[in-house]
Amino acid sequence: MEEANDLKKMVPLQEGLFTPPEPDPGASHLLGSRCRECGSIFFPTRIYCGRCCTTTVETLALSRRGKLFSYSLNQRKGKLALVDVPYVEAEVELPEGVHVFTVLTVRSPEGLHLGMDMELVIEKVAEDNAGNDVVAYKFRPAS
Amino acid sequence: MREIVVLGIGLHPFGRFPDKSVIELAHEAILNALRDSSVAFKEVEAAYLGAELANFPDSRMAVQQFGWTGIPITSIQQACASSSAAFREAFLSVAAGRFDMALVAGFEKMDKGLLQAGDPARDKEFHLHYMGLDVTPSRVALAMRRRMETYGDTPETFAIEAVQASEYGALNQYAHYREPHSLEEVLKSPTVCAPLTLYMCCPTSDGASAVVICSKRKARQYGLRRAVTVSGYAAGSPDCSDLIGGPGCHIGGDFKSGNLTRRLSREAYDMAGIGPEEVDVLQCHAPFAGAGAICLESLGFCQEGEGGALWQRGETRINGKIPTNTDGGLLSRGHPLGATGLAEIAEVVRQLRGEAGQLQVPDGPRVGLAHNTGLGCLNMHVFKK
Repeated sequence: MEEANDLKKMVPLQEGLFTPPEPDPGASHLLGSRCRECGSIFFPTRIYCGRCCTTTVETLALSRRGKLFSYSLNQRKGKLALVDVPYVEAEVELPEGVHVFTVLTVRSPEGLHLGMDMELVIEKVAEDNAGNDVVAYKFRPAS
Repeated sequence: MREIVVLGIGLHPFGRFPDKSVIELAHEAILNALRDSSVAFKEVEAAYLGAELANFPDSRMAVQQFGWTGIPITSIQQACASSSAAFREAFLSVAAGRFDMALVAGFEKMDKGLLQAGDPARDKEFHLHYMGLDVTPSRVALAMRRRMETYGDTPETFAIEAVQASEYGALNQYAHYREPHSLEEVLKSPTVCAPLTLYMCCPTSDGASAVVICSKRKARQYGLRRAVTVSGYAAGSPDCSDLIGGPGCHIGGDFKSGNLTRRLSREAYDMAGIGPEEVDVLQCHAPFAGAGAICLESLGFCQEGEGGALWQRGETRINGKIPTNTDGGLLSRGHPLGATGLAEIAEVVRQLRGEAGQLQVPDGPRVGLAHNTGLGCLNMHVFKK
């Protein structure tokens, strides 16, 4: 079993959303785009600036911490969702001004209040056919 | 541009019709619109159809079941705003003089449950489906939670929209839901995405809607007594100010900020030469309770944060300052995606004609507004009697 664990990799659910989770998923950052012309910042990354419509964008690592902008307790989920109900969806505002829609690691809205500090978590959401952990980003109240 | 009028309207009731095809639903709506306008199908010079789930062969058959007259048939897919987009294109073509008369129809047959917009097999943007970030009412619930914090709105503030909708839906023979609900019943119905409960969410429905439009000059031969003029329109998609909420910032429609509605309503009012204070009846796209408050604010009927109070004070009722969603709206009339836009237009026309029966806005309303948003798009039209 030990050996199997050593071989097990963390595979991002979608390439390009965050920096590689290995070796330390606790050091991962979400990736955004910043326009060199107008300064607009976007998440996820874009090829063209949404405002200037030019390719004057560069990739940047977004802050791992942000503020809780809003949340909702979901008793329903879509057909493909790799979450169990109920779950908390949230909108987190990063210091860069970017908003991120995310699922929270907490399963109840108890103790949540708008404006509280949140932090990024890279968490397993599924296992692939090779036994690897498929990981995605979530947020949790900051410690 | 030439002056254009709506000559006739027709609906198939909204609800569940498992034994009927989408073509049969469309048949009844189109037939009703032709009869209402005293127009024979042979006189129709072009057809524009709106549907999100139905496809072009459906649209073609919906029209050609009345006869193979060789007219151009255009099918438009634009999410929840499909048939208002079809109406817009028909209006522009007739106004430009390409045709004198056009038929517009919208229709849909839907499954129960949540909608899924986009497919991760086609676009990697839609990884958000796997992440549980694709629940439309949840995105609206995020906006509602924010309003609770910012403006002091409560679940009751939002629920009152569903109470009014159910009261009016019960009086509308075409509505999907015909049962009035009390505030307590709305709040105690099962939670979908807190603070939204089941009765605060629109149903997915089957249904169809149709209108006949023509140039005012041509309309004289049918009589102008019941004709309603199309006096303004606006259409667009969100601009970059709405792009800061990724990923999937388009999910949930224009309810995060109302930016798109705010921007386009100015265009529509300008074209019609009116301001919001002149609107006598409003059909707005509010698929979830609370969205109606955001619509009232972004359409300019009140200041930011005051929308909920308008609903609570009853200003949105048929005898209020801005009668809103007088046929039960999306919440009770139902929401067969492709049929919704024209159902809103049909209700505005019914009101301006003074033919809305028990739901009639008093004192002869003269100006009506139909506002229809879809996922990342919006069409609105101003009508005058």
